[in-house]
Amino acid sequence: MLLLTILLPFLGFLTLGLFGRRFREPAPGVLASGLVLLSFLLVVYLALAGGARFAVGDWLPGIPFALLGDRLSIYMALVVTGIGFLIHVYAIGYMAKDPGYSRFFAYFNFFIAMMLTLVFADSYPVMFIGWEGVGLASFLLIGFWYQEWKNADSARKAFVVNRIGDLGFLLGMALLYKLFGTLQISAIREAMASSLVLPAGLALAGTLLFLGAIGKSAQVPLMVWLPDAMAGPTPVSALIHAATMVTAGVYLLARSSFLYANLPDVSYWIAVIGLVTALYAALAALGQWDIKRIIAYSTISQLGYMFLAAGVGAYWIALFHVMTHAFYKALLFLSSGSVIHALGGEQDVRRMGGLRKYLPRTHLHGLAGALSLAGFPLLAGFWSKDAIVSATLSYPFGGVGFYAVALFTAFLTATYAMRWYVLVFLGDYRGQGHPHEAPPVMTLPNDVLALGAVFAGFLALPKPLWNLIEPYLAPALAHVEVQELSPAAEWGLLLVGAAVALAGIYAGYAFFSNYFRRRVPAWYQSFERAGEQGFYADWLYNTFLVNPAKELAFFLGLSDRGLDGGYRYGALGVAALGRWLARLQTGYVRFYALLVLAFAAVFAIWGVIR
Amino acid sequence: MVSLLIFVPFLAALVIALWQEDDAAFAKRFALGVSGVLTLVALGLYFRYPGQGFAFEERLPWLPSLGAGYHVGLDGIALPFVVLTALLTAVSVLASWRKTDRAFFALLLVLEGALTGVFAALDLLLFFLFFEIVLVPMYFVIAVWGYENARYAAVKFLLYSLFGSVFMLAAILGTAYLASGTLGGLTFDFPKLQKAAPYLATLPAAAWLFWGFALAFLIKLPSFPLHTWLPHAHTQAPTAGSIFLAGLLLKMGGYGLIRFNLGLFPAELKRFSAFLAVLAVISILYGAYVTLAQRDLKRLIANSSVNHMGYVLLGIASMSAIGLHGAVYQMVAHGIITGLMFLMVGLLADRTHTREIGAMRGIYASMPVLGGILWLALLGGLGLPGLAGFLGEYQSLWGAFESGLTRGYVWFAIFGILILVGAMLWTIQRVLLGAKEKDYPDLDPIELAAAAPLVFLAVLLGLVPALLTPWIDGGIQPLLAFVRGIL
Repeated sequence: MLLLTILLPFLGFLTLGLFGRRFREPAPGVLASGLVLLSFLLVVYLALAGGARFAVGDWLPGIPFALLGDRLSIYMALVVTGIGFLIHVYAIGYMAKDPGYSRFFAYFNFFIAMMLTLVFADSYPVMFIGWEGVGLASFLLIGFWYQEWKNADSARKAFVVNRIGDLGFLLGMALLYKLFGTLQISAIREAMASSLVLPAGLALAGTLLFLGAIGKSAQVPLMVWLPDAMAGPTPVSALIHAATMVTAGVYLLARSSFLYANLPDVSYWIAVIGLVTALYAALAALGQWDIKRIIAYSTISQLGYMFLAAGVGAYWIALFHVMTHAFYKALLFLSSGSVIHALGGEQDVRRMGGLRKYLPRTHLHGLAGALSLAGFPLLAGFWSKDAIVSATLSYPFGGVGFYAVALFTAFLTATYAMRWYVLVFLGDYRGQGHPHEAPPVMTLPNDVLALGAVFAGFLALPKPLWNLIEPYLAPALAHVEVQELSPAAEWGLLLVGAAVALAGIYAGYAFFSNYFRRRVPAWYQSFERAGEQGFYADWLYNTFLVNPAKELAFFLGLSDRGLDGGYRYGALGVAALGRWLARLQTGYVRFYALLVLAFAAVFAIWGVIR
Repeated sequence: MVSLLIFVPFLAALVIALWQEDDAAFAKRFALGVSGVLTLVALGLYFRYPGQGFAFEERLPWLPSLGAGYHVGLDGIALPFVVLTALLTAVSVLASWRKTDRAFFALLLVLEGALTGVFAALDLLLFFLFFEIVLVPMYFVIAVWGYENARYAAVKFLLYSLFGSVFMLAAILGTAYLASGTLGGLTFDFPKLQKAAPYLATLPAAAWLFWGFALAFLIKLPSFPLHTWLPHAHTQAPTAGSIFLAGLLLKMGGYGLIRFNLGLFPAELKRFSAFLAVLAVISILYGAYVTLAQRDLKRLIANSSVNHMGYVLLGIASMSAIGLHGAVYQMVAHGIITGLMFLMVGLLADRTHTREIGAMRGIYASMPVLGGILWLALLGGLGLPGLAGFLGEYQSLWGAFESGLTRGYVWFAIFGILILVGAMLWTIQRVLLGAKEKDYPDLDPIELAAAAPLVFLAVLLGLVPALLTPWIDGGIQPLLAFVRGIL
């Protein structure tokens, strides 16, 4: 069963990859979507059946090829295949008439197969296959329009930056094997549960795995690849660079929660990194003008929130946010896609505005997504984000400082969410095109996503109301002692969160609804310019890492020739010596006799001296 | 059966040479038939391997006065290379389908026979004989059918190899001579000499003997700083020559290190393992960096081999089971993947008439099949999980990390992965991506047939290591048991 969920989309990849050219539009899209739907239904069945296991003997010496469908992986797989299916359907319309139509769906199905491998893996090396597989899919899809040089640049950057994190993953695996003698995740979990003393080196292993998560989830300092990844078609940004793949880092932390729950120091740093990322990216989002880059930075920021949750020990809340974020962020990207589609490729929000009139349905989608992201009370994003902000006070590795920064970031989030909404949909149209609403194949998936973005939060409400997610995931996550807040305190924090979100929404609305008609203060303009550049992170990388590496390569390339030249002169020297010695061979016997005599004399003298 | 695999190619080469008409059409079909059938025979042996130690042994007296016999046999370390030899010969013949000289195909068959002999020989003199025979056809393949600077590259290849061989011959003679005391007579028989290994380990000369062997093998591998013949030879060799070089000749180095340096002088290997690990790390990092700087596509791939073979050396230096697994796996995977890379690059250069990276662009758009396969091979070269290269690299590093001898070096070696990823992706971008500039004919059925088995194996061995690891284990376990007995 487990294997089948992976094989179905993989089959789609093989079919479309090998015979794609023979299908006519929209057959590849329908086939690909259908297979993902089948996968989704299988995962639903697994959820109802209560999980599954799959293992074949020794895959590598001592490492079985093991898959595990427990509640955690099934939960994640539901998100991946469910949201994945909707985005596949959307892409049927979005990618229409693209010359690479079937290639696109081949890659898309490949991605789903690899993501499910990652999710269902019960050993780190198998997870790593999925981990790199989704990275490859991301690489291929970012550079999907490969004839554009810049897209290929972005794709390469994404892959290389991810690989930096992967080195951590690789080393972490090696260290875990040394500590536990196995890399099967469930076996390590049991070993951790039964051992009283933590093995030395565990903190290092945890840090190394965390490095992998930083890369995949675009956390500071490896966040630079995600904004550029928007070069891919918009459904790619929605599926891979918002809803699923980038949350793999969070999933890795949750999967390994039995390690991190025992590593307070490492957890503290996870929370710090998450918080810094959330704040950094929320600030940078305020400076973006590209409709997709705004949401890309927002994604980085929201992933930061998830890391914060995982860092303080609130693993289930991190996963709750993964789910609600998947809904509203996929919705935001897909409605951006509809906007770009309607404007014939325009991505600059300065040339948008007033689209409410032209794209009424998409406007509603955008509004639902933006408000959910902003944390408008009772929407999905509100419940999960507030759960994270409150968790900084109740969960073991949290603190008041975390709470304050998280709350401030929530304010910024609401502001940039409204900035996006206002600049795109309100005011007057500032462009020249003739916008037209998207076809139903694109609006229908968005309707479903919008329902999720509005209502998905009701799955887990604060006490004394119901919470379906925490008890469902509890058996699969590490047990963490929580300092229970009283319901009164919890609801009080919730009210504070709601007030901050509303304040942010108002601030964003008031400031940006007549942004182009007012005089913007100079300090804000320079802040905006710095934010647009992501506060010069790329420049720092290029100056201090990329260019020196290139120069070193160039230098070593030269010195390799030097080394080779050295050998060559050595060889020429030997040849010259040979030619010189050959001159001794004169053919005159008297000369040879002289030589013999001379050498005999030398040896005789040498013998005497010794 | 093993002797058949060695001598049938020699005979076939003779048939081609003596054939009445000067006709390459016959020569290439005959060579393909012979190597194809031998591939099946080798595969048959592979799957009949009993699972432990040496099998299919054959002995004949050869030079009894010297104690040298004709002794061949295969274990799980040698078997994959014997299969690979036969397979890559068939692939090379297909890759050279447009060649019009029958001598070329005869030389490829001679190479096949000699290489099989290298991997099968269990007598040191016999091994040396085949080791040297390999050089002759390779020299001519490069010098006669190579690119613009072929003579220079061929001579360089020959001199480098002979330089190493001299020391190896001295070491072989020295080993046999020193061991003769305890063995009751001069012998070059490998299993017999292994019995003398505990005694050899006590001699001060053991270090010299060790380095005699190691020098020859490090040149072949090649390891920094003895690698500079490789870029020349690879760049100048015709496609089939590059496939043989990358796929098999380099493997003689790693195979020799495991078989003889570990198999006869484990104590010395342990003593010098730190030094070898340093060479390995330099090869990994330096190879990757130099790859990044290349402008000639064939030269680029050649330099990436220096990086790949660094993992092999690191795995061997670790002396751990996993590391040795990784070393052998990596060699097989590299043979397949880099063989595929050279095949595709060769076919590409035939069409574009240049190897200059700057002069190519948008190849994927103009030739989706060739471009797609080259793409896959380059991804395999950067160690993408799911393709064979990853399992080799990963096991080598993992084994090196497991072993106290080499753990510290892994922290450095790992950055080579990163640099090579950059180099390979940049290559993909520069050569394959971008807008189409010119139309070229895509792969024809013959060329596709040459690539197909390698593509298949690159994926298969990336997903199902169980087709290789039990064999490797069958060779490694007795070896490690023997090593533990001495240390």
